[in-house]
Amino acid sequence: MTLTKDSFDALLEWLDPDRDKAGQSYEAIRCGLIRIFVSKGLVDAEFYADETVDRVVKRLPEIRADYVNEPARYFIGVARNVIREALRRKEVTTDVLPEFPTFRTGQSEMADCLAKCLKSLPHEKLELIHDYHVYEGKRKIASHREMAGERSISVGALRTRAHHVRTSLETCVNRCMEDRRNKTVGDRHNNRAASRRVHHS
Amino acid sequence: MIVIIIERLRGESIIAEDHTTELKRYLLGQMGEPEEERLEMRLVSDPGFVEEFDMMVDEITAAYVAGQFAGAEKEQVERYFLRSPERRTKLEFMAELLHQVGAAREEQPPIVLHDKRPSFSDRIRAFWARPYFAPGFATVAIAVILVGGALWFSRSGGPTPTRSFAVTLSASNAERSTTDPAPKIESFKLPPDVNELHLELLLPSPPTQPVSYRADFVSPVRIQGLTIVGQDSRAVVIAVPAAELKSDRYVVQLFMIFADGHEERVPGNYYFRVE
Repeated sequence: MTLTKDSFDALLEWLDPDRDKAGQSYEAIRCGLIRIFVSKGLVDAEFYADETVDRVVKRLPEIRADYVNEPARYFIGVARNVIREALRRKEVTTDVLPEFPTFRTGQSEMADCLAKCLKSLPHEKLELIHDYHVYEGKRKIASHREMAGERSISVGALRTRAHHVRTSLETCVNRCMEDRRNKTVGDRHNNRAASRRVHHS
Repeated sequence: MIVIIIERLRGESIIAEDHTTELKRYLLGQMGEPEEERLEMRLVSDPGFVEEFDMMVDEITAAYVAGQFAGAEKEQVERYFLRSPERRTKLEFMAELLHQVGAAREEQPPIVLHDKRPSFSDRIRAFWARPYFAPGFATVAIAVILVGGALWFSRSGGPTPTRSFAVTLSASNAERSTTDPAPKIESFKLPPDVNELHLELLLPSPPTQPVSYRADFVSPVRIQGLTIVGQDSRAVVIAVPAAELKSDRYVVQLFMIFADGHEERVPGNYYFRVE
């Protein structure tokens, strides 16, 4: 089932009479569902999040008059059914970490992309991510306290800042790898086109 | 939010008796269903909690890369936390980030995750770890290596970065019957600056139980145990050094290795031609 404008509007109205708040609730539910499905080992978490939303939308005309709990709770119930069904169909990633994938740091497309993304970070963010991750164990704790003190923030706030920098790096790396894949596909397409032109001439 | 930071004997910080401990238990699959549902309710209704969740995912991943998990907890991370492809990609990212951050400060050996076969550098390290190497001899040998390495770097300008070329192949059963159509052979030319070919071998069907894989070249030469760099329920990715590929037609066979050790060949062959 694909969401229609009317069914989506009905869903938003059910989530909150205020359209903006309803939009925020919808986003929060979808983000949360994706994390739940990833945590349960489902291979295509976004697909299952959409499937859950679709099922709720489908049931909405029947339930909205009598359902008294928070809508989010209903989504959780449906998501649990989706997970159970996927488990029955064995659509969950193997429950043992496979011997592979094998990766060796410094020798991959991701390594190239990360090096590029690190270079593009503003100096203070680069320094923060370096300092945050450079130590292990007790030295790490002491280093984080020192860093927080230098910035006049709490260790918790420092942790959040480091997380934001990592998230932006991860986004940059994913975009870089996607660009490279597209370029590779484009190059292959051009090579084939050139090959066909040669054969036809 | 009350956050109590305590130090474990080994030195890393853990946050006890608050929701981050709950998050960790959830992420490692250590919760019962009612508890899980309560946490999931917060996950779909509190964006601040989602950020806390994401931070905990990062921290577990970083702790795993740094080797801070041991025994049953390590196994739990591997069996439960790392079973989704998203988490394994994050693991690779975190390993790379920690390596590059470390490398920026001091030269560090690369971090290798789940590589059962000893690499060249591992073998070198193992060689030097042998007890019969007297310190004096080792010092002289290291000096020779350093001088040689410096000369090599000064001439070559450093190691060549890995540039890969990716090709997706489907299995063909053409060899099994003369009535089948000719096998589909993916033909391509490797760009000159590429030093690694990544072959994505699409599986005819997803495995029904936990498996690892082995990939072999069976033509034009027989090479067993090609390097597998990734797998999911849809495909297995192998990496082949470009220098080992001449212009020829190649045939790859894939084998599933089950938990009890027995092997089963994935039906069909994967064909490609390097022009």
